[in-house]
Formats: sequence, C-alpha cells, structure tokens
Amino acid sequence: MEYMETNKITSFLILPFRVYGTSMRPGVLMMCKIFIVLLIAHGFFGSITDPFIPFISWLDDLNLHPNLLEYFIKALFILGSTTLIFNYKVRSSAMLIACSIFLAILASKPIFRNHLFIIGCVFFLSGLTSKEDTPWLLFFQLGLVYFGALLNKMTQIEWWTGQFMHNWLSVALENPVYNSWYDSTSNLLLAKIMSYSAMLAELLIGFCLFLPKCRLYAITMILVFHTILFSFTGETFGYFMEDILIILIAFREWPKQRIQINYRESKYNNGLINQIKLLDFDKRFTYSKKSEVIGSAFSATNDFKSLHGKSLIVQVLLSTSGFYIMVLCLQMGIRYFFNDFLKYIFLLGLFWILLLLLSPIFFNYLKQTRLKK
Amino acid sequence: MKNQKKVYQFIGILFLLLQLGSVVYARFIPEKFFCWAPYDEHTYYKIKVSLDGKELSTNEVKSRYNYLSDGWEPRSIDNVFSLVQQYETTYGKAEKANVEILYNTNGNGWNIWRPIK
Repeated sequence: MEYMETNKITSFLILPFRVYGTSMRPGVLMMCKIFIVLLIAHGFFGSITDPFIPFISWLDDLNLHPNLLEYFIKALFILGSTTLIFNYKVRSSAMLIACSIFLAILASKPIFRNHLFIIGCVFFLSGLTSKEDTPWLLFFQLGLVYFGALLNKMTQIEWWTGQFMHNWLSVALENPVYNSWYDSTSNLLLAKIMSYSAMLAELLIGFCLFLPKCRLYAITMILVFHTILFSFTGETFGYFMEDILIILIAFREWPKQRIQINYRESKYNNGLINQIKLLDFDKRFTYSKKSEVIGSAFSATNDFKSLHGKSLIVQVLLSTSGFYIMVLCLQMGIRYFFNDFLKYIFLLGLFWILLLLLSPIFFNYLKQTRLKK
Repeated sequence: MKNQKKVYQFIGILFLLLQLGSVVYARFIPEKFFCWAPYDEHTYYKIKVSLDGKELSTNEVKSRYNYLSDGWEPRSIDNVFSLVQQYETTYGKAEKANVEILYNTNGNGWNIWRPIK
C-alpha cells in the first residue's frame, strides 16, 4: 500500500518532465514548458504591475483599485503555469498564460518587448492547436514574424545603404572584426553585404515557413542564420533568439508509438543507452542488446526503423524531454554564471554543437529526397 | 468536436490577420509596437528631466518611466517618445517637468525631442 502511494507521488512529481498523454502534441507541450521556465528566469512575473502608461488608456481607471489588475494577471500566470507544468488541461492553461502576457503588455507600454510578445502569441496559438494536426498556426506565426521584420527593414533606407549595420556593428557593438575591416577599407561594402544577407535570409525563411514542403529548409536556415548572427555579433536580442529556437521544438514530429532500440553491446554503447534512459522521462523507448556483429551499432523499430547509427541517436535524443531540459539548463547556467567574453564563448560552443548535432537530419532529408527522385 | 476545431482555427487565423493588419498599419505611424520590427533602426538616447529646475538622476528618470533612461534603443525611437509623451500628459501633467530626449539614430547625428504639452 505504502509502495503504491510512493509510486503515485513519484509519478506526480515527474509530470513536469513528461510531455505525452495530453491534449497537446508532445513538441508543442515541451515548447510551452520551456517558455514558462524562460519567462520566470527572465523576470516576467516581477515585471507585472498595475497599469502604468498603458496601451489602452481606460486601463488607467483600474488604478483606483490598487493591485487589482496586478494580482489578477499574476493569478492567471500562476494558475496557467502550474496546470500546464503538471499536464492538466494544457491547452486552456496555454491560453491563460497568453492572456496574462497580453494583459501585462497592454497595461504597461514600458514592458513591451518583441521577445515577450512572441511568447504570448505562441502560447495563444498553442492553445488553439489540436493534437491531431500539424501546428501550422505556429508555422504561420513564425513566418509572419520574419516577413514583418523584413518589411520593416526594407522600408528603412539605411538598411539599403548599410548605415544601420555600420552604426550597429561599429558604434554600438564595437565589433573588432567589422571595425578592422572598416578601418582598412573605409567603405560600407561589408555592412551592405550583411544587411542584404539578413534581409534575404528573412525573406527565404518567411517564404519557406508558409510552404509545407519547404519547412525543413526554413528550420535549417533559421538555425544557421541565428547561429551565424550570434557568432558575429554575440547578440541574442534580449531572449528573442532563444524564443525562435524554442519554437522549433514544436515543429518536430515526435514518435507516436513506443520504439525499441537495438544496440550492439560495448562499453561506449551501454553508457550511451544509460544516458538516454535518464533523459527519457516518458519511457517511449525500450532497449534490446543485439548479438549480430554486422550492420549498424544502433537500429530501431516503428517510426525510426529507417534510421541507424548517429542519425538514430540524434532523433532519439530529440524525442526525449530530458534532452531539451538539459540544453535549457546548460544555456541558462552559462547566461547566469558567466559574463561577457566567457559567456559568449560558451554560448557559441553550445549553439555550434547543437547545429552540428542536428545536421544529420537535414542531410538525411536531402539524401531521401534525392533517392525518391 | 469538429466544429470546435474549426472555431479554434478561425480564431487562430483571425489572430494572425490582426497581426498582419498591425504590420501594415505600422507603415503609416511612427511608433512600431506589435508589428515585428526589432532592429529596423538603432538609436542612442538620453532622457533628461528637470523638475522645478532640478535635474533628475539617471535612476530617478528610470523609475519615472520604468524605462532605461540612457542607452541603446533597438526598436523605433518613437516608441520611447510615445511612452514619455503619455506619461507627461497623464501622471506627470501637474508636475510640469522639463523633458528632453537627446537621440542619435543610426549614427546620423544628434537631435532633440520634447513632449508636446
């Protein structure tokens, strides 16, 4: 009896790390849970106030009842976050969180940030997205972000002359690579190339996000574009870059059935399987040692039967909530424990390792597309 | 159930269209809120406020507007003008503060903005 009680408590406590068995797609739920952590870590809760320079002027009338709106928004956020984290009514919870973000922004112009607004939009659309469909509303949302950003840049003459990029890199960021180029050439050629590349990237990404067949290209371009941008500027634009990368988690197709992984026994393989077991909170994978020596060291069943070796391991990792939690902890640890140069170096390493880790998916896709042709 | 799904999708599309409308609307106004315009311009600015002849410190200005008083604005500088204007014509109206924002957008030289009283 006592054992059963302990089991129930353990199952309950492990719920925040689980993403299967709810009315949301596992990827969408994973994304939402990470966003909650991100919001709390970046002080969203503390930034909620009574109306102060609101977007809608009549909200100021609520100041006649001090703390009323503040407590209401905070209550919405706490309720939505707690229920979503514990996998209860997750779609409604996402809507509650979205409402708390929208209300907080509408009540206070000074806290408006694109990186906060996008999270609100994503929570809102996640609440509207059913488990059975691809999250096309989220694809469209991201497409709209890139098209909006492109349109706003295209209509600024200084994005065409290179003046914006020059001022940003040279004066605001004091970028040593750019400044050494500019000092030796005194022209805006590099600034222009970078401006045009950024606009072209946004155009292609936005366009591909709207076309179902091109979405993997869009995702690849997003990863490459933001990693290169970070490498060159060291900027994450508030937490906008993290927002975009986290949204990509929602686009992943997680395996519907349980999958058996067959692996050849060796010290390294056993160790790797043990690590995966730790990350697999939903217990979606079973493991079996295989005796034959020929063929790949790793193979699998069901949705992953066409995958082997490194590609399979990457797909397995991307189908475990623990992997995302681990990356999030790493990223946040770097942000909080290091400053300036060390922070930049460690984040740079993390982003490039992730990019290289994910590259087999793209190359496999290209190979399969070519084979089909 | 099927109807509910359709309603949700309709709300989702409407929500996206609203944002699209906001992106288009932003073409006709100086402020760039809710229109996905990060880093379309980059401005260095400094807000100066004096009350009864006494200039407020950086921290006092920051608490006044709940906004950075001195630094880089990666969105349209009109967003900053908008919130300062709103404060000075509502909460701060009676104080009759002298407010100036010195700003330099994209390195094109310094300008001064003052709220309309």
